[in-house]
Amino acid sequence: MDEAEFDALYSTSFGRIVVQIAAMTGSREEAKDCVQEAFLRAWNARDRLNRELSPESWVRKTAYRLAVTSWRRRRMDRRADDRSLTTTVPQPSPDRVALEAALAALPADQRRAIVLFHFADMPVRDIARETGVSEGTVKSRLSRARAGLSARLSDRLPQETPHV
Amino acid sequence: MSDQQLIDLLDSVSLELDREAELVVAPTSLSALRSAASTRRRRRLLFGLVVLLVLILSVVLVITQGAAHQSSPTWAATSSSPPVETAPTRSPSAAESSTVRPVVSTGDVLTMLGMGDLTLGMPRTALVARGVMAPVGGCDVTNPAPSLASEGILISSGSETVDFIVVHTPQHSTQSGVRVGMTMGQVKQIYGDKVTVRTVTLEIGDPQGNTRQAYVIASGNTVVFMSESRGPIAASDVVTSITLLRGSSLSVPVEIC
Repeated sequence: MDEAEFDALYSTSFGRIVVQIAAMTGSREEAKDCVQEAFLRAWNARDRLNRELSPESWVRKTAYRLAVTSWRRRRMDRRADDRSLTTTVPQPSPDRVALEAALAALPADQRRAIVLFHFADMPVRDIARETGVSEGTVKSRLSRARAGLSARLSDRLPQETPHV
Repeated sequence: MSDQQLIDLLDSVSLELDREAELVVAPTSLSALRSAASTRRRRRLLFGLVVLLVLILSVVLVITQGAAHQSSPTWAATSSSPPVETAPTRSPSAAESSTVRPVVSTGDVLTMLGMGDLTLGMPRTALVARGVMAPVGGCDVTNPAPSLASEGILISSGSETVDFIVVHTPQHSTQSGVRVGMTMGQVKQIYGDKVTVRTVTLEIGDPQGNTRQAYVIASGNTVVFMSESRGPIAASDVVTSITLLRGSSLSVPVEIC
C-alpha cells in the first residue's frame, strides 16, 4: 500500500471505524484513540496491509482489540469511564440512545456481530473472517443478539391500552 | 418488538451513524500520524538494538567468565584419588615448542598423584615430548627444563618414570594450602592426625647425617614436609621442601647432579 492509498484509507474510513468501534465499546473518545492507534500501526505495517483483502477490516480489527485491551486495563484500574462526546457530533436520537443501551447489555461478541452486520454492512462471511469464527457462529450470534435486543427494546415501547 | 421493527430501528441508527462518521474529525493530521509512526518505529528499532547489544555482551561475559573459571582448576591436594586434569594454559617459554602445553602452570597444586600434568609414574618419554626433560640423562635426579625449574619443581626419571616431585619454593602448595615457608606447627594444625612424624632418609650426601625427622602423609603415595632442623620437629621449624614420593618410600632426594 503506497502513501496515496493509505491517505485515502485514513481520510475515508477513520470516522466510519470510530463510530463502529464506539458502538461496540460504548465510548466514542476511547474509540477515537484506539482507531488512531490502529492507523498508526497500520502505517508501520503497510506491507502486511497489502496482503489483506480489506485494509479497513485490518484497522477495525486492530482498533477493536485495542479497545478491549484498554477496557480491561481501565476495569483493573477502576478509572472513571469517559463517555464525553466531541462538540462536532450532534446529540443522538432517542431511538439510538435506546438501541445503544440495549446493545450495551448484550455480550461483547453478539454486540460486535450486530455492529459489523448492520452498521458496517458486512456479509456474514467477512464477519466470520474478521472475528475469527465460523459463519454458523456468526449467524448464531446475530440471531441471539436480535432476540436480546427485541426483548430489551420491547420493554421500552409504550404499553397499548386495551379497548373496552 | 417485531423483527421488522428491530431491523428498521437498526437501519435508522445505521444511517445516523453514517452521518455522524462524516463529522468525526481525526485528532491527528496525516503527516503527524506518519511522523509519529516513524518515530515509534525508530524507537523500537533502537530499543531492539540495545536489547540485542546487551544480550551479546551478556553472552560474551558468560563465555569469558567460563573460560577464566576453567583456567584455574582446583584439585584435591591430599585426597587419595584426586582428579588429574590437563594443565591450564600458559604461554610456553622460548625453549619450549609453541604447540606443547605446559606441564605445570602457576596455580597448580600438589596432589597425592602429582601436579598438573606431571604425575608420578609418568614415562620419561612423555616428559621429553613435552619439553621438560632432556632426551638423555646420566643421573638419577635430572634437572628439568627451565619451565619446571622456574616453577620450583624438581623431578626424577632415573627409572624411566617420574619417581618423585619436589617442591622447594612457595610457588605451589597442596590444596589444603601448605607451602614452603610455613612452619611445621602450621602443617600440623592444618592436617592434624593425617600427618605423622617419620624419619626419612636423605638420598644423597648430607654431611651431618642422612636421616631427618619430617611430617609425613602416607596414602598410596607419600608426601614429606621437611625442614632444615636436625633435631626433633619443633612447631617453629620452617618447611623447606614438600616431596611427593612413589608408594611408601621415605627416601628424599636433596641434591641434583
